Amino acid sequence: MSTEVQDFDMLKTTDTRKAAYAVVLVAMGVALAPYTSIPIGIAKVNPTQHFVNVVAALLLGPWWAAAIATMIAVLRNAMGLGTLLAFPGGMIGALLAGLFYRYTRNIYMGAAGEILGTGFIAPVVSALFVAPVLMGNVIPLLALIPSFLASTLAGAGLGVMAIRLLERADIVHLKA
Amino acid sequence: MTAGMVKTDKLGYAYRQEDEHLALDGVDLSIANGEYLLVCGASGSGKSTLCRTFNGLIPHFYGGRLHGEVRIAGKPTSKHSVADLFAQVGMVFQNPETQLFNSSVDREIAFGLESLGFPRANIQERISATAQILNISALLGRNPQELSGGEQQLVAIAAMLAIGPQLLVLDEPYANLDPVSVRQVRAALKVIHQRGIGVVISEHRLPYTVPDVQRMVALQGGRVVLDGPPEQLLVQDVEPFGLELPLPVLAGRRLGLPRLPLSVEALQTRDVVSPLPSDLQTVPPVFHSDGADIVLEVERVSFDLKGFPILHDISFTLRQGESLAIVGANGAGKTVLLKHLNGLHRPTRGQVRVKGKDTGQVKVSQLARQVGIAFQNPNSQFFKMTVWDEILVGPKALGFCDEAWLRELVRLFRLEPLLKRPPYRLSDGEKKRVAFAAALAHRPAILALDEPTSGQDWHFRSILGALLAELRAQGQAILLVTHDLSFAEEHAHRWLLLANGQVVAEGSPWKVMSDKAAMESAHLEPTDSFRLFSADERTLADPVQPRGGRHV
Amino acid sequence: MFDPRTKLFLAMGYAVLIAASARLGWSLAEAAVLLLFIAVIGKTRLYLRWLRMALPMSLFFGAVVWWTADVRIAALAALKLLTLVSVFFVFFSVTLPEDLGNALVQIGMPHIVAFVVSTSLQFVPTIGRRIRNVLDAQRARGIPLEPGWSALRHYPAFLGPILIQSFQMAEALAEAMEARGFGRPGRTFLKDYRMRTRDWLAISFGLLALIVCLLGMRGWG
Ligand SMILES: Nc1ncnc2c1ncn2[C@@H]1O[C@H](COP(=O)(O)OP(=O)(O)OP(=O)(O)O)[C@@H](O)[C@H]1O
Ligand SMILES: Nc1ncnc2c1ncn2[C@@H]1O[C@H](COP(=O)(O)OP(=O)(O)OP(=O)(O)O)[C@@H](O)[C@H]1O
Ligand SMILES: [Mg+2]
Ligand SMILES: [Mg+2]
Repeated sequence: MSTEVQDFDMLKTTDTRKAAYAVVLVAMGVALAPYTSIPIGIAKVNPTQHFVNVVAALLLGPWWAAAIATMIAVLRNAMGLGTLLAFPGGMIGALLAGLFYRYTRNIYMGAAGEILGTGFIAPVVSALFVAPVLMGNVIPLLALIPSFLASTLAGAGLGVMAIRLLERADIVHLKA
Repeated sequence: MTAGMVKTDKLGYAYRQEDEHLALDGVDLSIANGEYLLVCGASGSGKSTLCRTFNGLIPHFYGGRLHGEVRIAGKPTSKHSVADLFAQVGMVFQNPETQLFNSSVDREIAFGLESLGFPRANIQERISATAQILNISALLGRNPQELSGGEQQLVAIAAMLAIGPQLLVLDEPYANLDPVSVRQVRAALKVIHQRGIGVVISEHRLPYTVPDVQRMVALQGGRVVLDGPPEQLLVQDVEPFGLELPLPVLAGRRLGLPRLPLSVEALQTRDVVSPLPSDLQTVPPVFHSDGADIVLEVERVSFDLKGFPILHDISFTLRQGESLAIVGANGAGKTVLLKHLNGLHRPTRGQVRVKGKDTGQVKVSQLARQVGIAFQNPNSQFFKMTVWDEILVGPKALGFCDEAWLRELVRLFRLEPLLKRPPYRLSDGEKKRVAFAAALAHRPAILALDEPTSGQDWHFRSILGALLAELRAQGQAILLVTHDLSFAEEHAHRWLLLANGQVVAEGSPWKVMSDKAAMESAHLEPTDSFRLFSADERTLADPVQPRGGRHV
Repeated sequence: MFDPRTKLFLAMGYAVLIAASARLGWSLAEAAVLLLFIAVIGKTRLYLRWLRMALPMSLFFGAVVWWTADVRIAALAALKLLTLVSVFFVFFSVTLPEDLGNALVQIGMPHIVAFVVSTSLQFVPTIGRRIRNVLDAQRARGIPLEPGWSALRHYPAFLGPILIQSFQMAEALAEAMEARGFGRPGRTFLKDYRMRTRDWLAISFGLLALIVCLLGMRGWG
């Protein structure tokens, strides 16, 4: 009667798992920041945020990734570790990375989404919305782009390496 | 049908559907209501795997392939989710860091009750009742991450107990605890058992468990190889199953006692006329220091961290070929002291000299040349993709590569079959071996091991013991940092007993253990061997006089 | 004493006010009020510690604005940034994130989101500890890792173990959460979060003050 053999899904991405991954990614985003931030230009080069974005986008999808970026920004601001620019600087890239990956299933496209979102769209959004709040006028866009771009290039590169590493170490598995 | 709490029927399990190898293989086991059961066996024998089948984590969380079935109070787990089962089977995991995730102890205890949708007033009531049973009422407002290891383990138990389970399953609850915390948790489990709740405990350390349990089950390669009350089972040799017979049991067997004594107390209450066989006594190795160079001098070191004093006025020396154990309870400051050796911490007052050089003047990366440290958690030191590359990190960074020595290390630590594998996926024991080899790869003058035996089975302990003996013979200076006193008694020439950051006793293991006041202030208990044989004054005479060494 | 939602509302209102101020005088006044409030609730020492991290960031930001615009705008920008971020500080120093999360869940936010926010805060020190352990272990093997630019060169090697440990930790956490019924429908909460009269009063008063101030700024600004 009970000699039956049943198969169960390996590492199902249940809500519980997603929540636990999100917890750890947010904590990493906050805890790693002080070790990696280098002030350049108008913001800091901090690859950690973008590296977390890519990993979160690939593992958990666009909405979770954007939510994680938001939470990191809130916590970093509350702890005195980040500027308001952390909001646009994180959320847009995370969302785009997730969307790009969802529709292509290609890790590099995910990274490209992050770079496009953070390197090009986020500075525009920052200049149009965040800067006026602080300075009463629109600051020159060009001042933002290089530092955002530098952060996101480094971060996205690390993110791709991170996913590779986690797959090779047999810890997470991306769905094909 | 509902006979008993747990009933497994030809239970088999593979973590991957395609795996040939079964982590559990044909396990037929039934556990009665309210039974106190020990699950033991070598590392990798399937203890944790078996525990996870009791609340449905296997198969629902882990996936994989399940053969046969498990019924919990009559319910087959393959058809009931963890959310259905957790109220009946409470599970306490080994690592407190990840299983306590709320911001205060009362919220921690409330979490499971909230999941079950208990009304608020009811939750409050259960929190205070549970806290009272486990005697942790004073902790309710604290942050769980800031408690000591033993307190954390009690909170984890409380969080499960509050739910009102019929069975409590604990996976290696004692692995990281010092003896006093172990005693506390054991007492709590006894109370729980007396209240009619079943307890299943998976542990390597038989001396802590067999006196308490009603029945033990030993696993080997995922199969049940022994099943019965400990008094009856321990009559046979259990070493092949990776288990170490507790000393009182060995003594009882040799004396031919009809009912095996499971603890020192049990043995001492018997009127044994004949003397205990003296070869059972653990005799610490003796060190002849004649002319051996001093490699490490710690002189009046005090250390403050963030304004809090952690270490006070510590002095000791270590000579070539000597093995010194720094022993002390959880939080005594052992790891902090260890980090002074290679400059990861610098003394606030006092001096640390490695081969005569003051660590205050030298960079960490240079001190690494002389001091090899294997830290408490081997996972933090791996960063290469193969074991071989991992071992080469030190030699490469320090520009010192001795091929013959590396081959020797691979042989010593039995790493040949592992060299090409990624270090992250090894078993805990294998990870420790790799970490030790990596710490030794550049032939440092001092080898320091932080908690080398925690969570390891008897097999590993004996391999490590042989290895340390060989290193000692080669003249390696060794520093052991541990609260595993029986290991330290067997493998250290000299002890430094630490309590609250202070040295409270120093000398041969027997000398330190016979200092009752010091042992008490350090929250440690003498080893079984010492307690059994200390009645005999003759053996108590201090045989280890490190000639020429500093002696208090 | 107030519901977390009330505090959130008031903090947001104050942030809007700070953002809307375009003159140095107003911004100084807002900063002064905030400092006074911090002193009254007795968080001055905590705030000073927090300032050690936040102040350089704001000064730096001001310097960059100076470079692209002029001194007055730069001073204003730096001040506003600092006060805005200080609002975050004040809010989180009087509100446990767990309370905020649970209160928001009662008005419809998914529990999983609240859980992630409050739990991740618990795990920041845990991961911080792991990071230090990894750094220590690497330095103990002879890898020179002094903080700063040179550390960046070793970033990948240092990130590997952190990542792997973090994800192993996530697995163990998920397991522990499952074992306590996370995600089971019908969850109740230990604490009750109810908006009382004083909450509504505080919100009304705050709203009124905000409108008056905004109108005032228009009038004189
Ligand atoms: N998450 C996992 N994924 C794949 N295989 C696993 C996993 N956990 C354990 N195993 C394998 O299952 C077998 C039994 O492991 P288990 O962890 O149950 O042993 P154990 O008796 O608890 O050992 P220890 O004393 O070291 O904790 C081992 O061969 C192990 O490699
Ligand atoms: N980074 C740190 N920040 C603050 N306190 C610390 C830190 N590291 C250690 N401590 C404190 O220093 C004391 C000694 O800690 P240590 O880790 O040396 O204990 P231990 O003897 O190694 O204990 P265990 O047996 O649990 O490993 C403890 O009270 C601990 O809380
Ligand atoms: Mg196990
Ligand atoms: Mg320690």
